[in-house]
Amino acid sequence: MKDESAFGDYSTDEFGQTDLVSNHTVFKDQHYYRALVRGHDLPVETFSSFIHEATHHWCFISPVGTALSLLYLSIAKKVLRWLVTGEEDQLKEALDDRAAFDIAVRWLRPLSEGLAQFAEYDVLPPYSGPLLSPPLTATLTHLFNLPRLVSEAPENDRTPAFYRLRDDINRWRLSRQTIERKSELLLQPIAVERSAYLLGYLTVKQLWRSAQRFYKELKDADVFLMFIRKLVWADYSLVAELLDRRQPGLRRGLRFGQALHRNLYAIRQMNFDEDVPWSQWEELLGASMVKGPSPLNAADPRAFAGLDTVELVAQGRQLQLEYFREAAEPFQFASEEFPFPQTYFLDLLSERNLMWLGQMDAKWESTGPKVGRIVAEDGVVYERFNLTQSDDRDLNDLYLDIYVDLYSEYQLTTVGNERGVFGFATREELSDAVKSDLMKKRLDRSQTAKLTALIHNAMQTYVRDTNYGEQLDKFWKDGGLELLNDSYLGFAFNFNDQARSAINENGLADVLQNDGELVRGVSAITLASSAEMSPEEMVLTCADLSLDPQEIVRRVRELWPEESLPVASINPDGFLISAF
Amino acid sequence: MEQIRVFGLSRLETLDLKKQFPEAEITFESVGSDVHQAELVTAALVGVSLIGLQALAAWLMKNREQEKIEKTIEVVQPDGTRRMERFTFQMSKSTSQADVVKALAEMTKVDVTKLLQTE
Repeated sequence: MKDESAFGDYSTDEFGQTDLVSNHTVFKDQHYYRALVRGHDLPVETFSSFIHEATHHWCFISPVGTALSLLYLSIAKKVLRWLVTGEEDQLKEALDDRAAFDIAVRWLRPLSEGLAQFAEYDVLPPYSGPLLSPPLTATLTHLFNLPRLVSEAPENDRTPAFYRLRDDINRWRLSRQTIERKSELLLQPIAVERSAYLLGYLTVKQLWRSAQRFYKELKDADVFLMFIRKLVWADYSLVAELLDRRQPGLRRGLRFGQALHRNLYAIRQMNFDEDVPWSQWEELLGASMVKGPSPLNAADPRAFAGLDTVELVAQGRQLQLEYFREAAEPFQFASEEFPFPQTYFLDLLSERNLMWLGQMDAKWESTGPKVGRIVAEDGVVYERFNLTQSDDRDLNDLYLDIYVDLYSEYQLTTVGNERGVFGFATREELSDAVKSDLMKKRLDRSQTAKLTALIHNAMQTYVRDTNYGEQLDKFWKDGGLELLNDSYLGFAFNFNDQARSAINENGLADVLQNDGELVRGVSAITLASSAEMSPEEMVLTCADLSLDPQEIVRRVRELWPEESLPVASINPDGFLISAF
Repeated sequence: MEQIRVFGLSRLETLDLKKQFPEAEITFESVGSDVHQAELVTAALVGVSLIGLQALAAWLMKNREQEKIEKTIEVVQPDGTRRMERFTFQMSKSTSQADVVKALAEMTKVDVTKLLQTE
């Protein structure tokens, strides 16, 4: 992948980045994933980055994520048309849409990062229960070969495999690297204009703690992850607020933010718990694992609607379909000077379900007519590869792109060269429907990345010459930013004003007397608390770090009086607890 | 006061450095405030003083196994003007913190003698 730096809007961190528009993920540690082509297991340290980015991917393919992508592509199409033809008639609408897009993305950012970090630090394979989120399923299946572990157990019981993987993940979480990464999170500023990370993470964490009081099943962090995603990212009433062009863009953005806040409030209050039995939630959340028939609902085949949002949900679905038709229309303004592929927009939308893990170089060695072996630096990758869509004349240098589909649970490697992609291989036997779907896709990420960069630049070029930036700044300065912070701050501290005022620009640093070692100790306890460990278990798990949880808890007790929001404590049953 | 702007120095490492060099002035800035930026990768601003340079040197030398220190840093003048510098330093077993401080001072064109007089 030669050009992957400039995308429309993305979630980015030290692991990599996931582009909201194309759902293209670029990992910084992508060399690890080359082992997947040969079916090898990956080291446990890949857990954090994979599940973090997979969670972004899963959110971005939701109804709200897809709506944002469609909105962006609609704007892009109008701007490209202007670039090629000079016609300005659609630009006002494009700018208006852009305002709705930018505000909504910023409003979602804390939640987006909060969920990804919650997956990274709190989600574990379950002790029991049928639900498993797509990011966790993909992590266990593709990185740690869950099917093989299960097949080794008597009667294909997955429980022993889950116990083993829980232990591996817990040991990784209590390693120095993860403890220090979590420490960095706890030291982030709390205001959204400085950082979205701690604010988002604490919001998700407190909502999780609160939700367990209503449904015991939500004690499982992975099930809660599915639950909160469904109630926010899969809510078509938010899609309706975002895409309804009868409202000006700024207002659409604001209404989207208010609706998001309402949904978070609903999760905290859970006024529906007595009317909706858990079995109904289980059915709805489990339905997300059924293969989706179209790019619009790959991970959410069943729409979710609250009792009071049925109409808005119907409107959101209708609007999304209209935007999809608009975006999927071939781009007809390409010319010799501007050779933009007509099907770019449809290609991008139809490939958003695939998560790209990286690329590797390889060589072609012919062994017969249209048959050959594919060889990488460290040996043969495919011994007998049949060419069905290309001949082998002049075939030499190749590149292999590695993907997983989080929603249909398969792994895919495409084979291509500078002329494009001409074949693919999978380790699993794919259904005819999936094969047929794959054959229709272009699967050329280099091209997608290049064209998406071009679109992004075109948008920037246009926006730069308008007063759009000033208008948006004014929106945030005139109360937007305050509202955005207020949308999260109450939840993040469980409406405990004293706790809220103690955490500021330096996160927990001031509370913990700027003592780096104490911060590390507290971070370790927060991680051990999610794994339901006792102090003794924690010491055994990270014996090499010489941590003394009892002493850390004693020190924190003197520094943090808020017992309802514990930083590091021990409950009456002798287990470590933390709200952070 | 002049400042040195550097990427990669984490908040946790800063707490450790401040324990060793309590007088060092280290702050953080967000890299842009819009959604296009990485927020966990923030830039640290180290105030240029003898203690500040010592703290920076201690951080750069954290990995004693490395043969060479290579780091791009930015010197920010009190009037806000900035200039980028590439700091390279060949490490050996006998390298001391004072050697790295001296090299940092030379590169940033800071007069160490003057710093010594003021501290």
